[in-house]
Amino acid sequence: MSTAHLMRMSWRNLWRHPRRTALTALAFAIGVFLLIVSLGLGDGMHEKMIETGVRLGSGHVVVEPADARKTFGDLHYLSAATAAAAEGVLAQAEIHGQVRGSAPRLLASGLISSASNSTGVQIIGGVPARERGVALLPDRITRGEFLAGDDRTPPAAIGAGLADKLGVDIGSKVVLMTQAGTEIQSQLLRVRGIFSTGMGEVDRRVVAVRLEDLQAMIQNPGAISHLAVFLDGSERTAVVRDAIAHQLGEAIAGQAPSVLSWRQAMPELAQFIVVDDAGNYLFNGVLLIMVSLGVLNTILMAVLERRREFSLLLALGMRPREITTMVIIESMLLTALGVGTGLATGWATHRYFAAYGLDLSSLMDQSFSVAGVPIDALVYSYLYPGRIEWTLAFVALLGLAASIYPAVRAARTDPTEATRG
Amino acid sequence: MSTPPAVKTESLRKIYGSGDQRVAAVDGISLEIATGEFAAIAGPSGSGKTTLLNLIGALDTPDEGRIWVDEVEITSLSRAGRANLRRDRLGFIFQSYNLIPVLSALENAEFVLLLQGVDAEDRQRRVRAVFRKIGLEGLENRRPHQLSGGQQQRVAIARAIVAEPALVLADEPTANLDSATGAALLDVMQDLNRDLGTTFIFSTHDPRVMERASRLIRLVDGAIDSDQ
Repeated sequence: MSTAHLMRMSWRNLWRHPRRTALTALAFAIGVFLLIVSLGLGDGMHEKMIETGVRLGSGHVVVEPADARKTFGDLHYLSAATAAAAEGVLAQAEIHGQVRGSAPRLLASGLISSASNSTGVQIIGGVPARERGVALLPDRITRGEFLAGDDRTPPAAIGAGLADKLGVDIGSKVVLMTQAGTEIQSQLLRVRGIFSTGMGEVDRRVVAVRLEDLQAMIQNPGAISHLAVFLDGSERTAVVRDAIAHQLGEAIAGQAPSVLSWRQAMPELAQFIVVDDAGNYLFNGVLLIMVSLGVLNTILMAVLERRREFSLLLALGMRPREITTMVIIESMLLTALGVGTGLATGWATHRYFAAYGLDLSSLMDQSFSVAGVPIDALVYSYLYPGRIEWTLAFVALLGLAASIYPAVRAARTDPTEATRG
Repeated sequence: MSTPPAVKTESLRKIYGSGDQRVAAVDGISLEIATGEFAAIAGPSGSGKTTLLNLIGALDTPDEGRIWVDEVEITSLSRAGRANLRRDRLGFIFQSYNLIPVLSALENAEFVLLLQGVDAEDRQRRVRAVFRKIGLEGLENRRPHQLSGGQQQRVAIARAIVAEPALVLADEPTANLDSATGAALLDVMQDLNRDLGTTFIFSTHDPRVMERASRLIRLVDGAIDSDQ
């Protein structure tokens, strides 16, 4: 008997009990809908966290001195030659096409003072034009501008919490002190911008200045701490990291700098995402397994109700294998019906949340952060490539698994049952 | 050279139950049914009629003895081999019609041809010819629940004979029908037996069927009591 004929019979069998079939398909549809929506929101939240983390931190990929993370406390700089080589690698066509931007940065610790107060700070020296569009701080300026100004006093951007603590505002002067070798250097700065990231620690302790101003303060022209590389999304991080590392290794004789992905540079964030994903998989897996038990129940009931019919089919010469196939097709059609509905509604909902976002501000604290990265209350749905394909494969597998026992039972029906009155 | 029998059984035994509860449903039956016979197996309930039919129809296997259908020794066949034999050489008519509810009358009747791999055009042509012969014209697209009991049983007969099997086994085919419908169906089957030479074996305790049979085998307690 051809598969087309088996499918036609299976399809008609499904609709013997339309309400039961519809309810089981609906259960599957709800499961798939929830899976797609929760994966979309989960991936969207993770992608936003990664984006925030990398924009606030050292990019999707960071090029830094090889020993930067081994000897904590010491200052490490990329040499001017290494920095130039790294910039050259980024300019290469195959890498350049995947990179949204890059920013050379110099990091230091220091003390900032106003007329009324002083406090310890982390100093970030960057190139304003290269920070804009890729880094977070320029986007989070709430007053003034990011490192703009052409007067003699170099500009600074400080966090809103720090501004409050120092009692300063736009246009105020502050003095920044940092270590240059064995000496302490100080620089008068004018507050040109005040940012608010939503992270208390950043807003209270970070000062952004121009790269050349900080290089001048530490008396090390051309020095940078790292080169932050930004991509359009996190999916291709590993590929780009590997490409940069490979080409940088070829370009530099001797010890090459470290090239780290955001996962290596921010292990706490990477670990949180892995654990959160695992929790989501577990929840959705259990949900779908429960739904597939519903399919198992429906198909098994249908099989038990039709024992006499299966015995008739066997009596007429149908092969047990064909009966097994027919029942499996029935289950797969039921699964497809539910999955199709769930996929269509889930996809439409995903697209809606991708465009307009889901506002969770009433459910969470505005300053909520994980692994040092603030969580935005407006979550935009996003699905990593392959999510839908894997979801469909998993659900199809569940539908298949749910059909095997009923199908085997159907095929083992005693053909003499057909002759019982 | 004589025509080989349509069915031959040799010392057939089928026992149900175990220990003290063992009952021989068929107890040492040896018989031959000639090709083209219109034979009835009669007897009271529990006499072994249906069990014997199941054994001859390769639906069940005997505990002892051997069976030949159309010269094929079926007791040594595998499960798949028995399925092939049922599909290619046997036709079945059941007491309670046993049509497939999701298929139309025409689709039910062509089902065995479908299993045999006959192409759609040939299937339709053969089924329509049988429908004309047994008065089912115009009912091709009706589902079983849209047919009367007599019409359903006619569809079952069409399904049983459309593939031109060597043997048709009918298990109390008139038991659920009123006397007029039952008589009409017996006419149909008798016509098919006469016109096509198809061998029919009935199990029955309906005196009207026994009257029509060319041979009447009476069973008592799983053994042949008389064979006329």
